[in-house]
Amino acid sequence: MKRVVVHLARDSDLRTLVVELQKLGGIVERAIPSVGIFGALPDAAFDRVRSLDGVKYVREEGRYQLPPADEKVPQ
Amino acid sequence: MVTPDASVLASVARSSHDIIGLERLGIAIVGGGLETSKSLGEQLMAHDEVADVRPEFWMFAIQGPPWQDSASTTWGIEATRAAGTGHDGNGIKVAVLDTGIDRSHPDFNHSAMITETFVEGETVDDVQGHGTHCAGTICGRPSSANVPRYGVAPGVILHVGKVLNNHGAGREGDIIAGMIWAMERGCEIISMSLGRGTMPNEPFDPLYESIAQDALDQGILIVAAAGNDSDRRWNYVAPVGAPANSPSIMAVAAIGADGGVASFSCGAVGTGQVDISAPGVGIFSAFAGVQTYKKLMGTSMACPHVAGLAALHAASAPQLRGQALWDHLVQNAVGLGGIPRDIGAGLAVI
Repeated sequence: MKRVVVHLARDSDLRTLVVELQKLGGIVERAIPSVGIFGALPDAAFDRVRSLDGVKYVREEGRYQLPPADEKVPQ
Repeated sequence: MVTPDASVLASVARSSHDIIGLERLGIAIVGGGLETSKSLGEQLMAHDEVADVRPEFWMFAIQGPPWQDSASTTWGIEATRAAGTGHDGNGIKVAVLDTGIDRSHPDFNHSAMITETFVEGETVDDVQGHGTHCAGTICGRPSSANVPRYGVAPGVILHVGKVLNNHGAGREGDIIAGMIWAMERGCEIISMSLGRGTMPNEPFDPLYESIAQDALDQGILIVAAAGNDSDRRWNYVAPVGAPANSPSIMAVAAIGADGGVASFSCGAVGTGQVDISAPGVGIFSAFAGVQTYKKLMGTSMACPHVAGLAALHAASAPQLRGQALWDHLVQNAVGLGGIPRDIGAGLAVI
């Protein structure tokens, strides 16, 4: 399983896509209409999800990390 | 600013206001004080001949660089001319998406605040400190005993979205949920002092770009830190990070008190752009916990300066929203002799 971002088209059917992802073994943690679905997906399901109507792209979810709040370290 | 059509000026005259008509320029300056001017402005905007009505700003000669902290203001407030404009951002909703806020900090007691956490299992309270610092730059209390003014727009309605956890880390899902929350709450400005490094020719992410385009269409300006991956001591300029590299997100670079670009500030190399710059070295602001205040540096510190300045401009004129606000900030920026790769249009000022 990998943490993923599924970028959705504006006219995508969110409810249907959530069900489809779960059928493919995915875990949906956050779903925002016309924006994206965030969660986890088995590696083998990536190509299938990419082919679903209303999906613009699927990629691994990125993380952001601040440095320590030290005055000598650019924030 | 109006077209001083005779009928319009006559209607103003009937309301007994002082008028200076500059007919060649299409401008009339009308006296009467802020509250009176608001109602008069609404009347004037009903005329087709009137292009724009806004309160008059006080203007000052550009001082410096170099700037320095004083007993009354930080160098960032001085450089951006944020004090003494007659505006404090009153009523403008500004979202700061970060590590949360220290709600017990004495310098936020004055301002309205709406909070939400998007980090599972954590309250909006700021443990790391970065979010409190950024919020302080936007709207820290204008005057405290023995503390210089450091908040750019103390009158804003602060919306705090906690999208980075107590260790300063964040997931994209939480960050994007915070962006959507701020948009749905009607925030006019969203400040994001966060990002990740990019490769020189890495394209922008269409997900952030589509959200930012929607925001501009809805009259919302998103500003983000350009990133800190450069080291100009070695002539290395790193590309603008993500999501600031999205064309519809205003990327903010950092300058120092000498007016020059900060060594670490990312630049417009490769595909990303720098749109504007702001103070980002030795920035005094609020801090979480017992320390209360701290000086930090980074484009994370420059970004909330621009958010606060955007609020001051937005408070001056209701039509300054979204793309119009973006354009206004860029048009008013001061070049300082830097190059667009490093500082974009220049130093954001009021």
